[in-house]
Amino acid sequence: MSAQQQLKLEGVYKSYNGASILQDVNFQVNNGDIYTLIGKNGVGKSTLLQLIVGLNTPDKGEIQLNGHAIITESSDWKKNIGVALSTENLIETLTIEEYLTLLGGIYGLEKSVTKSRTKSLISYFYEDNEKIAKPIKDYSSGMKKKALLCAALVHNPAILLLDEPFTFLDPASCSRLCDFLVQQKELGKIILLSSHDLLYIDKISTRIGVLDSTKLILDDVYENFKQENDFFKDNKMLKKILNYNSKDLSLLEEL
Amino acid sequence: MNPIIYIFKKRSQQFFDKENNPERILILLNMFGFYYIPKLLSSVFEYSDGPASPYLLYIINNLILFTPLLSLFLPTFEAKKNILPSYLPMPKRSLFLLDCIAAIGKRASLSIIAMTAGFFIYFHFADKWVYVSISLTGIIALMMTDAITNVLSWQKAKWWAAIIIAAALNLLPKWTGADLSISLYLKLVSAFILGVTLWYSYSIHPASPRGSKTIIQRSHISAWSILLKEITRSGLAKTSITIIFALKIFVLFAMPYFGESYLAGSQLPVVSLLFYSPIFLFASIFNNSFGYFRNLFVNIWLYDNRTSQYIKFFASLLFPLLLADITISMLFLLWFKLLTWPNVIIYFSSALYLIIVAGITSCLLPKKIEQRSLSGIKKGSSSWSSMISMIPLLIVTGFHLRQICPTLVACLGIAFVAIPVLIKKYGAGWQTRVIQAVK
Repeated sequence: MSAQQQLKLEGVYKSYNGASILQDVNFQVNNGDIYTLIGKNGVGKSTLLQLIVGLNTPDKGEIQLNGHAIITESSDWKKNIGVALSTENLIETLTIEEYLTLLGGIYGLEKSVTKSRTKSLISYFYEDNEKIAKPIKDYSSGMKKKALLCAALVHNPAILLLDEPFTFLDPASCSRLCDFLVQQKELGKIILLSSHDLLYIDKISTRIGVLDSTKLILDDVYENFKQENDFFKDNKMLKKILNYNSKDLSLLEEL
Repeated sequence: MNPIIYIFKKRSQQFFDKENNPERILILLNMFGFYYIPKLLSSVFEYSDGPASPYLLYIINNLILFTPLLSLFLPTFEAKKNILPSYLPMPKRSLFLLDCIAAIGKRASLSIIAMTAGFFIYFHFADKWVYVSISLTGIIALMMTDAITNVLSWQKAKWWAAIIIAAALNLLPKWTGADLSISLYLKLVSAFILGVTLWYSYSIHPASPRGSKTIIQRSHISAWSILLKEITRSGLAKTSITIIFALKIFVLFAMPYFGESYLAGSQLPVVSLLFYSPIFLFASIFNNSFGYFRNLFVNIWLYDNRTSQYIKFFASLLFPLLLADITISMLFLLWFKLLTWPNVIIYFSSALYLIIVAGITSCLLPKKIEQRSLSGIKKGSSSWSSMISMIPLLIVTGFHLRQICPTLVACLGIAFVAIPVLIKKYGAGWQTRVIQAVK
C-alpha cells in the first residue's frame, strides 16, 4: 500500500436558490478505504460529489487533500481523480473505444498505454456478446454505465469518485465492479461512492456516511455501523434515520 | 490524435450523418435564403461602384447583425451543454475552442456567413474599407449570437449590458452621422467588448440550477396546466416568447417613427410584413426547447389518443399565444390605418397555413420518438416543421410584395390538399406508434 493519503471535507455548506442542500459536512476518506455515502433521494449525495470534483463550489468550507486545500480547476487535481457521475457526460456519438482513445489523449497517455488499457477495461467490464462497436447513444443503460466507469478508470487515478456506480448494472457486472473496487482499495486508492445498493455496500465498504436533512448524521467504520444496522436482519437505526417506515401501502388505497 | 482535432473530425462526420438530413437541408435552405437577400437589395438600390451612403451601410449592418433574429433562430436557442465535462484536465481555452468550432456548424452562424458573403458579391463599393466594415459586422454578429447563447444558457445576466453596448456601438454611426473611419473604430471596440463577454460568459461548469419551478397541484391538473407548464417552467421558452412579442411590437410600432412612416393604405414593406405575420410566433412553437411537441405527445398518451382530445389540446396551446399575436397585428393595422382586406387576408391565411403545418408535423412526430425516453425526441422532428414553416418566409423573400397575397393563398390551397394526403398515408400508423413508443 502507498503512503498515507487523505481526502478531507471540513465544514462544507451548499445551498441553491436559498435552500440549504448541505450544512456543515465533515468527514475524511483515507487511502485504502471505500467510503460509501447513503441517504434518501435528493438528500445531497451527488451534490457533495460534484463539490469534490469541482463541478460546483461550496458556499463555505474546504476540501483538502493531505492537509492542503484542493484547487478543483487545477490540472493536477483533475488528473488525480476518476469521476463517474452521470452518463450525460459521455459523448454519445462515439463508440466506447473511440471515447476512451479521446480521453487517453486528454490525459496525455501514450497511445500504446491507452490502447492496452482500453482493451483490458472493455474486456473486464463488457460481456463478449455485448455489441460495443456502435455509438454510445445506442447502448443500453447498463452499457452506458460501464462506459462511464471505464472512462473514469482509463488514466488509473489515485482517487475514485463514483455516483451510484451499481445502478443499471446486472448482478454479474456489479459483482465484477465490487472485485475491482476491492482490488483498487488494496492498491491504496481513495474511493468515495454514493449508492443505494445495500447488498454491494455491505460487500465492499470500509467506512460509511449517512446524509439526511442536509447533514451528515453518521460517519463511522462500516463494521461498527453494521453491528447495529445489519441491512439484512435488524436495521432499526437505519429504519429510524432514513425514515423507512413513515409510509405504508394504505396510501395507495385508491389503486 | 489531438483531442480537439479528434472531436472536430467526429462532429464533422456527425454533421454529414444520414440522421442529420433534415437539419442539414434546413441549414442549406437558410443559407440560400440569406445569401439571396443581398441580391434582392442590390436590385432595389441599383447600386454599383458608387460611394457608400451611410444609410445603405446602416441597412447592411443591421441585416447582418440581426440575422439570427430575422432568420427564426431566436427561438431556437438551445441551452449549451459542454461537449466535454469540465472535470477532465482540459484548460478553459480548449473547451472554449471546441465550443466555437461546434457553433460554426449551426444554422445561425452559417446564415450570418452566407449573408455577409452575399453583400460582398452583390454590392460593389469603390472604397475597400467598406468591405472591412462589412466583414467586421459579420464577425460581430457571430460573436453576439454566441454571447447571447452563453448568457441564456448559464444565466449570466450581468453580461447583457455588455452585449447591448456592443450592439449600440454598431448602430451609433447612423444617428451621429459619423464617417466610415469612426464607424470602423466603434466596430473594433464592439468586437473587443464581445470577445471579453464571450470569454467570461462561457462557463466550463454545467448550467446552474434554475429558479423555483412551477408546481402543479394534483387537483389542478387540466389540459391548460399540462400544456402550458413547459412554457412557464422553461426560462428559455419564456424569454423566447417575450422577445418575440417585444420585437414584434417594436418593429411594427416604433420603427416607423425612427424611419419613414407607413403611408395610409399602402402595402406593407417585406420586413414589416414578416413581423406582422405570425411566422415568428410559430417558429418559437416549433422549437424543441419550447417543449410543444413533447407536451402534445404526452397529452395524446394521457388522454387516450382521442382525436377530439388531440384537437382540443392542440388548440389550447395555440389559442392564447395566437390571440396575443392577432391582437398586436390588428392593432398595428388600425393604428397606421392599414386595415384593408388584403392585409387581413395575408395574416389569417399565413396563420392557417402554419396551423396546418403544425398539425401535419405533429401527426408525423411519433415516428421520431426514441423508444427509451418520452423526453428524448430526435432533433429532426422540429427541423422538419421549421423547414416547412419557412416556406412562406422564402416566398416572401423570393417574390415581390405584390404577389404575396396570391402566393400565400396558393400555399394554403396546397396545404389543404397535402393534409388529407399525409394523414391518410401516416395517420393509420400514428396511434399504434404512439402506443408502442409509450410501452
